[in-house]
Amino acid sequence: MKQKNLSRHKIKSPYPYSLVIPAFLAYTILYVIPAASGFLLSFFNIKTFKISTFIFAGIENYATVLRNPYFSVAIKNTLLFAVFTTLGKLALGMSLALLVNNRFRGVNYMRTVFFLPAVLNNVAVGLVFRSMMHPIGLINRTLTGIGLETFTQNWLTNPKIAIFSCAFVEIWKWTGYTMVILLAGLQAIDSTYYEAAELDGANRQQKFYFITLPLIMPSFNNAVVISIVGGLKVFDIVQSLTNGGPGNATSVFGTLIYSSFSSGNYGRGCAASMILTIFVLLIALPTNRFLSGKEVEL
Amino acid sequence: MRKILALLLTLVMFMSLIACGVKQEKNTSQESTVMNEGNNEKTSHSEELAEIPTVTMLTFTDWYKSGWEALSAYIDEHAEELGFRLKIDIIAGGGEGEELVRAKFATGDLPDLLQTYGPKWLDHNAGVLDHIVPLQNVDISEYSQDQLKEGHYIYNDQLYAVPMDSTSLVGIFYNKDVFAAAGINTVPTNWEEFLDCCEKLKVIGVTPLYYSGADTWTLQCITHFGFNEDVEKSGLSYTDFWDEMNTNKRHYSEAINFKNAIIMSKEMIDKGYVNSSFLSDTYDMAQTALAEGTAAMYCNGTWVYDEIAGKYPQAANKIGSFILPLYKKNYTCSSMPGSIVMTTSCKDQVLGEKVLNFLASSEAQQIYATAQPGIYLNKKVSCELPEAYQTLYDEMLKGNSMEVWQNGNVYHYGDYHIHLQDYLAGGMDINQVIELLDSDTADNAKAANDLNWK
Repeated sequence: MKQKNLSRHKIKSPYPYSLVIPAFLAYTILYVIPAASGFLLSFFNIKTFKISTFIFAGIENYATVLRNPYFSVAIKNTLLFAVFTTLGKLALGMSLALLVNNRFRGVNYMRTVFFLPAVLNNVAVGLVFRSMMHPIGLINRTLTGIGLETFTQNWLTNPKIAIFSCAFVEIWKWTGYTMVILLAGLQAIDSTYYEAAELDGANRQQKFYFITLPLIMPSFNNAVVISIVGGLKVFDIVQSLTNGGPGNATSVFGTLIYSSFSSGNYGRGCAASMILTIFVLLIALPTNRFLSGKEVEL
Repeated sequence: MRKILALLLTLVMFMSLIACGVKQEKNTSQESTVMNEGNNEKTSHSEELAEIPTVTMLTFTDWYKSGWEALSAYIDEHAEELGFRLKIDIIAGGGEGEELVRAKFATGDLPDLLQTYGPKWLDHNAGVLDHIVPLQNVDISEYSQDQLKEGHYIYNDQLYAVPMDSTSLVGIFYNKDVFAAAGINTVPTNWEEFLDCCEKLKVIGVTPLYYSGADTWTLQCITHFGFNEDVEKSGLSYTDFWDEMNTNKRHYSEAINFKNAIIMSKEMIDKGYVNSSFLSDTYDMAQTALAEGTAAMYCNGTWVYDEIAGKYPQAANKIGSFILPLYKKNYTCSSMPGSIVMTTSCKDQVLGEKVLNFLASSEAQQIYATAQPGIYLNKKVSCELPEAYQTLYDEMLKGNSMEVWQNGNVYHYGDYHIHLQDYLAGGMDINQVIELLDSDTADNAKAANDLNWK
């Protein structure tokens, strides 16, 4: 009864709510209103942003996006990209985090070097790798130079491998970022857990699986969700590397949306964005829920 | 030590910012070129001319060549006498530029003047004709009315634009030295001779025909010739042919020669006549390959000659041209010069018309043409044409030219250049490419509530 009264008292007090107002306003103006507008606009044919020129199209924009012959290619590529980059970033990020979690000379320098790609502009990175991955670019020239000519490839124009080349660049760029998230988790683990495990005779692997992994789950969950959402929303890396080509071999959802907007079909672009939002939510939310269940309180 | 280092760095940054500020201040009082992120602004400033009004104009980067350089330098020098200054913003060309223009119209972020593909394109591809000001006081007596109508400068019986630049003609541009090295003394006049020519070029180790597939728009050029044949075979005029296409009476799927030209462009790859890395190679690389003679032929518009002449002047006289000899009667594809329109964002429309009047005049057009020889619509302009232009122009004068098919449609046909690249890369079959042209046209016609597609 006392608890109930206390809750009621808390709800009636306006002070905590007043503190939320600035953030709530910013969120409403910057996120809620644009998202709601996008949803509304997705039901119109729009050529210019003059309301009098809008033509109501019903669900035609959604139908056109779903009918797009490249829709299934884009879905497949987006999923492939998200899964491949998430696995790559987590595996490499975890390895690097474990490495730089040790104390040795130059560790701070290494942390900076590994993180550095994350601060570079995506388009600049794309253009540099586009040049390096040209059939006569740095990568193939190096492979030829060291006698590995058989491994030379048309990295960005072979439809079978182009999406993986894009994924490789994404992994290169964001592994350092994932490393930092996981490193934060590693450094939050109290050393007494490891000391106790050592007293119990645990080996290195056992310490990793039974102490490190469960205790960094919150960071790991963060890294997974950020990677998946980033992978599903990918646009700039693919656009700057391949423009979604050759043909549409590396089309992803982001390039599909861009193509709708850039052809002046703003309503169709909004419809495609809405579909992407649903797509991301359908994958990211269950993943987050699943991994949250595995988190251990420190 | 760290604190001292941090303090020093802060001091350096602070001093740099002050230095930049001082430099910027100095720049405003003397001639300068300002480079901005995403676009280049070339403008002249001087204290004496501060009171002279400035008109802003936007054009595509690949349209800002020696002609514009010469003309804008002339305007800068004579700003006082002309009574205006012209500030030209340059944006990306090709598809990216088109997208940017559409976005600028959609958001209302418009310059005073805009050089694009003209009122018809702005009407059908961007739906923004109401943002363009009809011109009342621009003198067009130096132009043929028919040509102005044909090029849609006069659109819906109203003058909306003035031409700037030369008429472009699509053909095969070839390196004469490479042809000579392969023992080819005359340009091919039929398809068998063309293939024979490719074989001889392949034998001497050069790329017979260069494709720049990374810039997808360039892949379309060869296929234009097929469309000319479809118009020719239909027995209709270009306008009547497109009237049928634009009213759902005729479809891309019925354009058999167009389809065959696409297939032929892939056969050239399969026969090994095309650079193996064509999907990664760009329009710029094509110019280098043709100028340096690592490639013998390149299919594109006369603008590619302008680019080569600008970048590789020593190679300019090595470049010749001919029409791709696919059929019995072959046409070059023509495209009228770019159009400069005045937007509704121009606050001083009297001044805007004054600038357009000057740009359309034989005085301005001649300055442009002297720096960049070509085929100009202004009847008083004369210039000596380079051989690569002259050959195609002679064909045009003989009546062997047809407007490029993409100027005929009312509803956009979608990403044909992407589908074509997909087909050439083996990701899509020819029927899918053609079907997409029809289905995308239908989607856009329906979106515009055209009853012919209901």
